[in-house]
Amino acid sequence: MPQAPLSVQENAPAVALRDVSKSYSGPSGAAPALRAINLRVQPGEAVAIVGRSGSGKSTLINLISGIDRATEGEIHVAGVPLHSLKESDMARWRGQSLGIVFQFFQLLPTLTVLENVLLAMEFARTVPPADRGRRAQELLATLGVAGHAQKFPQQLSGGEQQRVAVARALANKPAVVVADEPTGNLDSGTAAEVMKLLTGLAYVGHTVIVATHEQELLPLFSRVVTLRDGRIAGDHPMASNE
Amino acid sequence: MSSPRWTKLLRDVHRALGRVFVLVGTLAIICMAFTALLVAYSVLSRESARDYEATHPADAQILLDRADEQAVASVRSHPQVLAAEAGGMVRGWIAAKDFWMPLQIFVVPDFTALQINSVQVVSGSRSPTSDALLIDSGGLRLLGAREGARVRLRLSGDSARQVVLAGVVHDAGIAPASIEGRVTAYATTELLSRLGQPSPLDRLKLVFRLDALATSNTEALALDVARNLGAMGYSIREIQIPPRGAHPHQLLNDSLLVVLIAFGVLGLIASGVLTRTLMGGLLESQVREMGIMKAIGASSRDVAHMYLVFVAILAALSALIGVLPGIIAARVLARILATSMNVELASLTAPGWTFIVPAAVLVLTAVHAASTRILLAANRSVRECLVRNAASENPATLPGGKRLTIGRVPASFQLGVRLALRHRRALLSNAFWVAIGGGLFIGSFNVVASWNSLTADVNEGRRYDAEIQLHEPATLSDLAAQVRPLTEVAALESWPIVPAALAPQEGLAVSHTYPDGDHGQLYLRGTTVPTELVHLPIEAGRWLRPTDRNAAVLNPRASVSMFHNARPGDSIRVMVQGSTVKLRVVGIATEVLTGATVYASPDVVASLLGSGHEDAGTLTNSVLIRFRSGTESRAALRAVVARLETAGLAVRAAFTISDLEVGQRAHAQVVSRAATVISALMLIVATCGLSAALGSQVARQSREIGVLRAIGAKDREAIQVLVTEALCAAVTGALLALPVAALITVALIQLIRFATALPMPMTIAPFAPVVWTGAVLICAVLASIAPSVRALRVTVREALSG
Repeated sequence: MPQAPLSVQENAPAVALRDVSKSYSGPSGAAPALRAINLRVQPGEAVAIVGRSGSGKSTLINLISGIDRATEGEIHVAGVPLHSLKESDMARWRGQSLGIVFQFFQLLPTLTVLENVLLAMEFARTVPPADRGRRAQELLATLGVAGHAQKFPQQLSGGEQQRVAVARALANKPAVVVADEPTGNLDSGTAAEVMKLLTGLAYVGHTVIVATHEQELLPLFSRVVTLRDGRIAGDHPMASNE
Repeated sequence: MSSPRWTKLLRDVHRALGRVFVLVGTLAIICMAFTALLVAYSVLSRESARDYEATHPADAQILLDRADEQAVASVRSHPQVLAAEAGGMVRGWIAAKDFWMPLQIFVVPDFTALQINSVQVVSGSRSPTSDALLIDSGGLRLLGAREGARVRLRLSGDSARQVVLAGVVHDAGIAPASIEGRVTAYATTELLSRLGQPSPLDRLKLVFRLDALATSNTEALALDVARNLGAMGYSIREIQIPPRGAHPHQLLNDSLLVVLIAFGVLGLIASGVLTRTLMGGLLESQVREMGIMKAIGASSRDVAHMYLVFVAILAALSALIGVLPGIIAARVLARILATSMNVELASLTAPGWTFIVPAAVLVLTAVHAASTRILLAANRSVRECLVRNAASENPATLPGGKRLTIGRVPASFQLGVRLALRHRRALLSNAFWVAIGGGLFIGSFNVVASWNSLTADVNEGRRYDAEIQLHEPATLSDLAAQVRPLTEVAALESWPIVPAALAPQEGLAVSHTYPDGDHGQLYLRGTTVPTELVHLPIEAGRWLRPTDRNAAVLNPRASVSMFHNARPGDSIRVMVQGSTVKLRVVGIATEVLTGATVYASPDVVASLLGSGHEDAGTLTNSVLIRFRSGTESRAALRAVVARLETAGLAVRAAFTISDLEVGQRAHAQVVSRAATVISALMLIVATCGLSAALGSQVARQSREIGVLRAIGAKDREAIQVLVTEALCAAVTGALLALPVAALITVALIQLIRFATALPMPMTIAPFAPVVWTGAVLICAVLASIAPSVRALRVTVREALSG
């Protein structure tokens, strides 16, 4: 039985960060990764998070996806206050409302391509069991990897694996899709294809936030947020390339 | 469509088949062992009780001057007596291959009417004729004879006669012949008469009514019957009341079974730790995948549930695999132990709980043990699972921040040691197996060594080679005259021995002796003071002095079992040959596997035998002999016995010290065999556990192996690093095994001291730690090489990317 979705406020931003800071404890004391971040992303935006290594891009993605918790501030994603969610509710929310794409794909090696997508639906319990197989096949077909459904991830190329990861991220019709350096492990041609796939999701109603260092692919996004030393150093829309 | 999460687990099992196989295999062995022990315990407990009860053991035996028909009729008419039979017991010798073996014959007036202390006919005649015997099956094996054979036997100094072994019986009321070193036979009064024993019936076997036993104790009932017989003019020698429902070797049997069960329980505990260790290793390899599942919507509960079910299924599979071999092993074990316990197994069927309980306990133990690791892993955050930081582990530093360097030792060895120190938790976890298994392994052999040390100390105190007991007392001078001319004899001392009983009730001696006349029997032994031939270790007080009068030294069994822990300074009263003797305890001497004995000052027994004690005219019925060095004791003893009998001095019993030691070894053999089996089992479990743990550890270190190779290490050098790390665990565990073994040894020795009142020393078996250390070092090398080679097949890129 699909569980009742957590509440969503209409007309609210898809993602809202208010005075969010994150520090990590280390042998030499607290190391700030993010400082007083204020960010609002509207539904349907495709936002690129850029910056040098160590600027806090991955930390920001982790906070938005609930993988990590902020030291200070408030985070609202798809209308849900992540800062006050219990860990058990976080997992359920993530399965139902968020899709994640990782740099190294993070597909389960002992499951086939199809089973990787089905697993996400099984945990979230939003798609009825009878519909899961069909939906998974449709997603894989849309992303051009339906022919590999019965293969294991290690039998696919990097680009194909990343397409499967995108299919898995979309399995439960999430409002928000986040990706952390999704093209970092791909050649330039494949990287462009995958980035077009991701940014294309914004046109069909998803909010897309991608941490990337691919400068030449930024025109695919509607907005670019630049991080430097854990702070937002720039936030501007991109001219449309349509 | 099957669920992807369970499909993932099944394929994960297939991927880690080696480790899973080790886990399942080891758990199955533990389940098999525990099932075997529990089933065997259940079968033997039931069958030994049933077998013994089937003999209808007498509640009491009254020894009197004659058990004639009038006495039997009188006893049967007693209102509290349910059944009564006359019987007798004589001792003699039976010819084995090249020597005479001790023989006891139970005399049965009518085999067709034998109900009390009955025997089960195995083969042959049920009722022997006047020239035949029935023989106990254990005795037949000991003798190396077969049914129908003619054997020679001697009683009370008569010349040897031939009789036929007409049938074989099983007597559950006697101790095993192989341990006692004595043949038991059954004969009619006619045969005994032919053998020169015209009046062999000298005891009445009684079974009391249940309602009588419910309202009064056995001793009171027996005393009442004995008083009536006394009033009729019968002379009562003794009332023997064996412990009710207890086989003569009950304590040994029970102790053995309890020890087996205890080790079975330890094995179950080991199964829990093994599961925890292996699950820790398996879970480490699953950490990233747990993070992925949590990232895509799985809750900690979802993840924990998956792996708990996984462990439960593996444990259940192990139980299924182990139970059937366990039942088969139990049957073999039960048969082996039944032979040593002289139990005839009518049925090997065990109740269902004996194999359901080990399986259920194994599953519950495994799940419980793994649950901590699973819950810890499942509750890790997604970030912790996905972000690997090798630098977060403690650097290999010593206290004070010093770094470990080892001179000119090769880098691969140094690195292996540093890695072992860095992975301290894994080091201690791996060493645990070696420590616990080693503790039990070494502890078992230490206990056996302690026993051997004790018996050696005691035997060291026996500075004679043989003992001869006579049917009738003779003067020491007569004996010496016959024995001293024999060149083999170097020394001869008088040590008379008479059966005794506890403080009399109304003039009647009561003992807790079994029908064989040995187990439970109390003896009063006269001494030669000072003595050249006997120097028993003194546990408390002192040995006897020439000036002592009415003094006694007790052995532990007499002190604890007969006289309520009597200590030096206490007084005791014993009944001997109708007379009550009061003695002052001056010491407690250590003896093993000897019946309860009171060593009395020379005046005591001499007066009982009717003579003075300070001259050559002293009467004695037992002498100790030391032969000249280099003499073959058995041959020399035969020569002495032949000479005595030629002189008309009938020999009742004669045995060498080596015969005594054979008996000691036979008693100890049961326990030492059990210790060996348990030690072997511990070695298997510990090495399997270590192998599994090391295999998991190597798998977890794939990234470190990748780093080594990336910076130029050859495959051989990478293996050396891993093997060195494994050897560090083995050495650490072997060192930790020593204090563990010490603790276990102390605990077991204390338990044995409490149970037997014997002053068991704390002794170390020096070979045991050496054997153990060698075995685990070999195991560590073998256990780490195979997974290391597998890990080296992974490319550097794959290893570094995790």
